[in-house]
Amino acid sequence: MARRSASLSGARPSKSRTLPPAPASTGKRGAGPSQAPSGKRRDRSTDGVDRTRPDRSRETPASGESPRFGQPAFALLRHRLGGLRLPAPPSVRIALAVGLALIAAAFVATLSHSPLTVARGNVSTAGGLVTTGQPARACQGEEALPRGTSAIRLALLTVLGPRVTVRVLSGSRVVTQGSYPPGWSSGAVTVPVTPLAHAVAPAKVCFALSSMNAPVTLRGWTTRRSVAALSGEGPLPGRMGVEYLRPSRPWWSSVASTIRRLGYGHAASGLWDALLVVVLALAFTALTSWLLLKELS
Amino acid sequence: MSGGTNTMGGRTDTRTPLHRRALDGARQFLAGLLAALRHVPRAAWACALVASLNAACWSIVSPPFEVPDEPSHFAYVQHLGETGHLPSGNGETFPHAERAVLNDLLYSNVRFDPSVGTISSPAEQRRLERTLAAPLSRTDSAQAGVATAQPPLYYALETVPYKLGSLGTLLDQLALMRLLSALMGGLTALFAFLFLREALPSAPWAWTVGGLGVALAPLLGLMSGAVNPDALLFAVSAALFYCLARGFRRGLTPGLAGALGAVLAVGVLTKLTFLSLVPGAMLGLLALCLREARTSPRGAYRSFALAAGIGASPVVLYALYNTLAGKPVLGALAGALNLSGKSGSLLKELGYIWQFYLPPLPGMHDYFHGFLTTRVLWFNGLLGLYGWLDTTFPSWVYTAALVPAALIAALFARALYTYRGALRSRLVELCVYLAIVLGVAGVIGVDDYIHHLPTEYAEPRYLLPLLALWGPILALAARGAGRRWGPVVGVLLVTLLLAHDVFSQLLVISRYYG
Repeated sequence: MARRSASLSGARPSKSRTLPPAPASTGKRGAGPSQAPSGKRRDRSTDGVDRTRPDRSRETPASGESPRFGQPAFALLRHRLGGLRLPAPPSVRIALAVGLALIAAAFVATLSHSPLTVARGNVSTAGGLVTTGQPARACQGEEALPRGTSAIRLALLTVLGPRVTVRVLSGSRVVTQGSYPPGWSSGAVTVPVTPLAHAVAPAKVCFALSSMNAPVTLRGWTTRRSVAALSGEGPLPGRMGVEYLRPSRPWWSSVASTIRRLGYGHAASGLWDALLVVVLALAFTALTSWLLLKELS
Repeated sequence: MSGGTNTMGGRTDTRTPLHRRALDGARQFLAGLLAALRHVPRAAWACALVASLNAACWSIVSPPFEVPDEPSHFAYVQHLGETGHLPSGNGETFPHAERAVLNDLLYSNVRFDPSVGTISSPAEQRRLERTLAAPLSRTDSAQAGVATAQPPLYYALETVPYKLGSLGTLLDQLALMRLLSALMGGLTALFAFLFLREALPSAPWAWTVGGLGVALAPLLGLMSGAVNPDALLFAVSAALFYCLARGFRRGLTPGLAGALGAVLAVGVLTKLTFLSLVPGAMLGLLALCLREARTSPRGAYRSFALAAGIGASPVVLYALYNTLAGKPVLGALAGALNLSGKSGSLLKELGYIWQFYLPPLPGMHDYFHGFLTTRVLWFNGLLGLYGWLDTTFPSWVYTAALVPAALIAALFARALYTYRGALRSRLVELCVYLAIVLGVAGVIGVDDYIHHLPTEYAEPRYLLPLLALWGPILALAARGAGRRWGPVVGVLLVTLLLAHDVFSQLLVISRYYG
């Protein structure tokens, strides 16, 4: 079988065709297996062939080779369709340039993108209200949804979240809805909903938990029963923490504040942290690019 | 040294033969080490540097203590550095100095809640600076949370930057400690590259693809940019893979056996998780010994004994110390190794562990409702789950990532098919790697099963001791593209991974500082 397939370990199949050696090797590369002294560093391949030299002729056969009996079907097909060969690959330099250009373009696109920010509501200071391990549903009235709301964050704490379905009603009419699949873990879940063209108030936010995997704690604030959220079994101890999110200004408009904030709470304060991050990111990107050009060209 | 003067005025050598042999041995070892370091390809050092720079970048991007278990690991180092003793309680009442800083950083509010970022006002920063400057106690608690039961090697190493930074604030010390972890991240990439060189010697250009793939892994950057023994664990695990691959390629020499034993010993002293790699490693050692025994039985068994002896020495010495001190034989480790948390049949346990990673088979009880663990816990987790497991990409990213993942899988499968003959001839070696994978996966699954909360152990970082295997997957995927397209595909793969890393860091920046 070894004759019909290329070698992973550098073994030389006895009847295989030798291809020209691959170009470009680093100065120190040969110091690896190829400089292994005989004796102590002998190769232990099962067929007893000396494998101490890295054999670069064991790559996939070049596309122009004649297939022999027993070669895989796709190789035979490729031989038959020899005139329809793939075009020559671009150089490594071009591939790297394209890759880096795509990263730069994605970076610019990300900065131009408007992230979802909280337009109304609060979940950060919510405490535990009630915990359930069973499928549950509840509604909370007297809510006000800002125009453009495209996600609703519910203060739910769990290690392995259930499916969360949200519906917002104005009277009996569903104004928006959405769901989030099970498997999440956090102190809050953000459920994407159909964006609202207009503000809606008053509204009733209903949610349902299904496909339960672990206990879920509903977080919020204790209130009077009259304004508390309602489950199927009656009022909950209070109102649940809910946040309404909508796209805000693009990322680039908050770059300055992000850089300033990066300087808080670290060993080096001020702009040093942001500067270091940029320098380090450029350094490992440049080093990666240099290495790819040097080793793969 | 211990020389004297003879009647001719020259110095006589009064060293004993044993002393001389020991010195010669040490000299030979150092010479061998230097020679080995000289033979490390420049590309391997470059990969290590990329990994270290990347981890250093992550160490700045990640807010202090907002990486899993960092407060506990810092408390361990702090207690060891301040008192010279190991911590003794697994509670989370840390010393006053650390608690005050955690409080000022709003640690409890930020953790687990992606809607809350780090401190953002000059007033909060001033309050933090006042706390950092205050002479608060660092020795009023011996508790180190989940870190308490862990072996001390990583923490002992971290006391060096902790002491070096003692003139600065607690956050300065944390930053220096994170940098030491970043160097360990570099070691991981270095050993992953060397493992590739031994495992796939025929395509040197592919070593760089695999090495850079490991170096740019965002999870490696995250964990190596934090105070966490995982940083050293990943490096030791990669070194273990390298030693085994070297043995399978060049034979089990006494030198390699000693190195393999040392790696096992360092691993055992680093983190208990390393024990999950030991059965596979011992299987590999046994296979190497049996192969060597065909030509030199006595040398083979001597090498086996040497590796096993060195590897087991920390456990034996620790048990001996505890016995002599009248403590339980395994000391604090006994609690950590207790696997009797949940009763149930073996079949039930195996079913749970299976579904922890893979879709349920027909007839199995369904433990995870409404989602596929392979996709949600592991694929999504490895792709992007940062901070205290509370920082994720938007959902569409995980869906879009299926496309490149499928392409990599297809190229990898093609390479496996192309090189199937070579794979067959190295079946034993592959079985050893598979045994290590099963060991790691099995221990995580068992841990999760015996604990009460499901998926408590579904942290992708627990799979990173296997990170060295990611290198060959990438290298083979590039080679799967064929001789002409291989390097180009390799470059595109690495730029894809670079993008993954850069945008992961941007995600963390937006979550905490945006």
